[in-house]
Amino acid sequence: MNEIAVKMGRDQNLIGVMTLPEKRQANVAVVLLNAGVVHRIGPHRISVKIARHLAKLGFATIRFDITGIGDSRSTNSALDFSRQAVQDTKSVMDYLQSQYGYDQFAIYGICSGAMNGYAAALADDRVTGLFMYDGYAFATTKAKFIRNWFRIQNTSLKKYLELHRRLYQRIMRLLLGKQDARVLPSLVSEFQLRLTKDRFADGLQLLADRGLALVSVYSGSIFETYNYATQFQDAFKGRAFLDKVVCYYIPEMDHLVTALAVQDRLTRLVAEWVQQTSQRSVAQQD
Amino acid sequence: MAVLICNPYGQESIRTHRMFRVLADRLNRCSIDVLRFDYFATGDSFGDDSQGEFIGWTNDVIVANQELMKLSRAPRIAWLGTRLGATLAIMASVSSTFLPDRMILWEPIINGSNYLTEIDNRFIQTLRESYNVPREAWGNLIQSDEGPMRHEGVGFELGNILRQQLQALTKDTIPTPRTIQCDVINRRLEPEMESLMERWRNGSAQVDNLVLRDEFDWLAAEALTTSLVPAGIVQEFVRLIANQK
Repeated sequence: MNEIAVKMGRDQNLIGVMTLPEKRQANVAVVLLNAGVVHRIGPHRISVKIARHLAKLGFATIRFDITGIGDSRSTNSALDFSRQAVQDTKSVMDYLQSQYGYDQFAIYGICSGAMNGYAAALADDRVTGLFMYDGYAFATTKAKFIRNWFRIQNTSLKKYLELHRRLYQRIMRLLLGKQDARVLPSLVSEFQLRLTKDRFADGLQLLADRGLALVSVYSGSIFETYNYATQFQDAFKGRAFLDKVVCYYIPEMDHLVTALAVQDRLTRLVAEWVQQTSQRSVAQQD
Repeated sequence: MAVLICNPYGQESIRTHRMFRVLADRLNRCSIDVLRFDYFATGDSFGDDSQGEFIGWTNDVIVANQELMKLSRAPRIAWLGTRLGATLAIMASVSSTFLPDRMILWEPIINGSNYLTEIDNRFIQTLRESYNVPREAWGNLIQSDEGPMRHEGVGFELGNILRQQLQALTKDTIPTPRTIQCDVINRRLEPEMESLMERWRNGSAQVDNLVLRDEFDWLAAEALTTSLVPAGIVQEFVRLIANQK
């Protein structure tokens, strides 16, 4: 394995680290995106661990910081954060293609990284695989019921009444126009505002039709939004892409992959997906 | 003047990464060169989490300093060490023949046992807060002496050697920093730190204490409720370093 620090992008502002295997096994290179504001090494260094594991299997990876995150400088670009992230990812793929000859890419991301990966996959035909960890999640009626039932079970009557009093006050403030309706409890929910379930599904269908290896993993940290094994199937009932997206609900895993056992599990899942992406690419070329 | 930044350990290093990037930019605007680096087995550097330990890391500080001198050719060098990075900078100053002109030590770790306890407690808290359905069993696993999570420190594997080194780290085992001017920065001056600074002063070192009142959550898993780059802290460091260059 060899690791090289690189500068990329039109403004040469994107900083990344390439991890190259001793023996190149495939034409697919893996792009590891930032998780929120955590720099390219990922939460608890998980991107470094994944990159080195993949190198042992013969796959090259790049972990890099998108504009304004980690070591990558901001530029004078007028693009908003999401569009800039897509532009940056395309620039990195251009770099890998021109410098190392890779023409197919598998994109992995946690949280906002998963959302940026989804957008980049839609924007660039060179992407042949997408791994989303705690990306877009859509609560079904059953998920809301499970969430509320859990709350009731774990809340004393006094707290329960207090919660409803606050909820009532909040609704009244909303109705009276005294509160911004976009005030939401978590960052993930805030990101979700950008995309409706139907638009997400349409995009996923396009990616499935293109033959991407698609994996979506949901952790125990987003219980409020995602909380049972077949939720993905329920949320997108009747959609043709359902049998083409591998979806896992793993409540033992947490959003920032804190415990080492969780890190090992994620690393293995990513490795399986990359191998699947590579095999698919070879099959499509044949 | 050129500055060598010595990172803290583990999650603290991730937490401070962007702040030090911004600080480096600001210092650079004042014509001060800055070198940031990852110790072996941390960040982007080679090595697995479990391989990190004091002797190698102390040597990494010395090697990084040589690189800074070569690249910058600045006549004066300052080391800015944070938490365990401050402790490592002290150790490096003693084992190196090089004499840094200035050492700025931000909340150095001077009691390894307390630090390990802090990490263990934060690990339990992080896991508790990470799940909507609390997993109390994991807390028990972390606290049990032989538990499978005993060698983890908030997402990073703590090797046996490092854990032993931390357990043996007390104010009595920390040497007097070899430097011309030493500034120790704390939120509040604890008696243990005060007594250590007194010993350093008795050893004829020039040691000043500065109080930085801004609260900084070193081990925060996510910066959702705290500032990632606290402006007050960055400004204070720029003032401290640039004014005396």
